[in-house]
Amino acid sequence: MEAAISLERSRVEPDLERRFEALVHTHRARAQRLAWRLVGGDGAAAEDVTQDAFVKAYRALSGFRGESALETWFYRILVRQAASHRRWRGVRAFWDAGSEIEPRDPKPDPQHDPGLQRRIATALDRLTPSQRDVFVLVHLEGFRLRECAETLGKPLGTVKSHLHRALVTMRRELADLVETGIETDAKEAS
Amino acid sequence: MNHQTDDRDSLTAEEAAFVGRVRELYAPPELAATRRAALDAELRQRVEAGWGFGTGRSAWLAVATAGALAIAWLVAIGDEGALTPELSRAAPVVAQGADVDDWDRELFDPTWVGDSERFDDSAELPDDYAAIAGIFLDS
Repeated sequence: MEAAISLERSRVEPDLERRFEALVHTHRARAQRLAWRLVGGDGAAAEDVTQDAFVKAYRALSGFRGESALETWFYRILVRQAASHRRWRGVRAFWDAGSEIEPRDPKPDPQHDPGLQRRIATALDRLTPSQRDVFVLVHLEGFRLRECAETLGKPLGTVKSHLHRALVTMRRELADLVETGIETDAKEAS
Repeated sequence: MNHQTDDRDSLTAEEAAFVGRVRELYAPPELAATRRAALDAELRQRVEAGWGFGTGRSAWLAVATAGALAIAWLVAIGDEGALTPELSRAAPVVAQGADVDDWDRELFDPTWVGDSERFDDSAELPDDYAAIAGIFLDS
């Protein structure tokens, strides 16, 4: 398998570099999907967030001592990068006379209804940042509770609490999602 | 990290169906091989150049910082009495009911320490995380 990234000029230990290369290679797709879900379904923003997270992880790699899983450590960076992006988007929206910046996705997935995805993104946006992060990590990305707690730097009990509240809110906001299935799309369009 | 975790076992059938539906619907398109290769190339370039800021953001930050400094300077020379000692000593304020929580405060307010029992994670997290503590404050 050819390494996706070559880091010859770095001052990081070669073994750690190889692990980082493997991380990029094996986790790029998942990282980008997680970023996409955290930034409200914006494909271009998800690419930026993922790239920035990889770069920041590499810059901080010399401080990594192997006391935690490299993947968990990286996803903490990614989640924070996504949070920074959301904040930054809010600042830009403020300077653009308060108008909301619509997520821009140059290649929307034809298999998924954009209106329905927008509804889900809006519902996620109404959660608190912590609730949103926990919901996405655990329920959408399949993190275990402990992995999620370590990734977010929060106690397990706090994660459970956020997860419960997030699920209640999401079900209330999207109550018709399961009951009517894809027919929801027609309702949204009308 | 599969989807059959201990966390999901506690969901009711209805909750599991709802979560599964959201997961199915709220997913990005697959990353095309050509796009992936382009992103790998860009990442390689950025890492080897030793330059870590994202597209356009550093420019925005520079402009915003310069603007804020200019406004502060104009205010200071235009109305020196406006900034009272009480105001200048005031701690960062988070509006009541604002949609921010401790995660935000931890991220953006370096002076905020939070509830010592619930959010002091220094005893729980490995030292590895100290390596990334600064990268979000200096960017």
